[in-house]
Amino acid sequence: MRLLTTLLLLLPLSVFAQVNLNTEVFLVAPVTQADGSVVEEWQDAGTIAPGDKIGYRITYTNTGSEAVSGVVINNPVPENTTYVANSANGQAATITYSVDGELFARMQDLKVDEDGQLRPARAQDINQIRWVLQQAVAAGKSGSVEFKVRVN
Amino acid sequence: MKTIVKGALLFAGIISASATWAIGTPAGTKITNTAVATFDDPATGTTGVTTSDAAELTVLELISVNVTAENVTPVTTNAGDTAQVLTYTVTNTGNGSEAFALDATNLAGDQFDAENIKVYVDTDGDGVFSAGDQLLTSGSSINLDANSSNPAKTIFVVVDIPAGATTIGDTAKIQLEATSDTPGASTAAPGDLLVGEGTGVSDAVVGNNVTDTASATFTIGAEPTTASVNISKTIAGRVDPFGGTTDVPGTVVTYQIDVEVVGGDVDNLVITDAIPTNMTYVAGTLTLDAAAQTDADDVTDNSNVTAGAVTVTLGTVTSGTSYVIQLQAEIK
Repeated sequence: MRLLTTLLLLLPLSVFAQVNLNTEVFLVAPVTQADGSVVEEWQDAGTIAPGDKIGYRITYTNTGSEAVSGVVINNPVPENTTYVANSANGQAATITYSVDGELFARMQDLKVDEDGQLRPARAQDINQIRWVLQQAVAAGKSGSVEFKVRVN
Repeated sequence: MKTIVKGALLFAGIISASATWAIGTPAGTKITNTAVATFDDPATGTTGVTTSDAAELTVLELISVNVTAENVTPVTTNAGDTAQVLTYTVTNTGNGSEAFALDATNLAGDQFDAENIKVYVDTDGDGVFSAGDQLLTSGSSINLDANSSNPAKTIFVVVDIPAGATTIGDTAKIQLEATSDTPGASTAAPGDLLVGEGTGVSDAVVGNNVTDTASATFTIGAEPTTASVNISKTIAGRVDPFGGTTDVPGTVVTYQIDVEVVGGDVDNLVITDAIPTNMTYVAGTLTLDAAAQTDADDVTDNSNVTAGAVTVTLGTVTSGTSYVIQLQAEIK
């Protein structure tokens, strides 16, 4: 414990973070396979244009020496893109969505007030995605969550 | 953690209903994504926050165009007519500023070809072909900025109709084609990358409609009728109470109305002549082509006299027919 205190005093603040996040971006393209079936492949996002589908993969890593619990990852849907329905994934994560960045709920529970009428939220209404990891992340372990958007 | 769970149980969110979706994110726009994680930091016992690097992408120029014919039904025209107009709209449906070459051509599968085809840009933007509109010479192109308030232009295709196209109902189909002027675009496949050809950004991507066409039709209609009715009224003679020709009370004036139909047939031709104030119609004096007419509104003939007016119904009259109507009135 004394060693840790010393470290606390000597090192810049960022070292305290026990969890590292890394965002990767891919171009999601349908590719015809040898057997004729079409499979979506996550390719290097070399170039993008309106209408293209983009995949984001956020990798979290526990860089500390102790397990970390209560990990929550928030990702706003980037400007000029539209969330692709049902594209958010994450193992052992509870995924909720928000249309205003404040209230988060399951997709089927989200309602949107349009011209005074409440209607179910649609994918294009979503402006933020939240993954709540159900279990602690052990020291040195990592995992990832992902979602897709379409360029407007 | 507790607050978050609570938040997740709430069920309603509000968004503005005025969410609009741009047709295309402008070329050169950077799309960035940043994820943020919170966690229970075992080192400090408080909530730690970590932010990912921003993953950034730059949107390339998408080349896409749409051509729409505004004349959805055939435009009626006649043999020998000049400067006949078809109207089209060309829209940049991509996300950058792009030049498009325009080409208007006669299509096959119709009965005649238009001549002297010219393409004009609606320079003054009034939607009507007029003298100020700019002629687009062969090989030149128009520039359309998808991100401007008006990414479309009205285009007029102006043609002459050959003198020999006289068969009513015959048609001429004319197609307007718009093609991106970007080198390599016209022969590229959708999705192809045109390196170094982007507007406002390095590269361009070929969209599904790097070229587009629309066609509209001229049809030969019936020759326009220019039928008209010539009518004139003269005094054919007068007799005063003393056998002379002075205009005094008691003088009987003979009026003659000449009617001639020219230039085409007319229907429902009715001649009405009001009896002048201070004159009285002399009963039984109405004649049509020297044939006596009854004054009554009857089936004997189509003439009718009321207190103030004489009416002769001539009905359908073929071109070239003329009539002479005479009647007498006495000065009160």
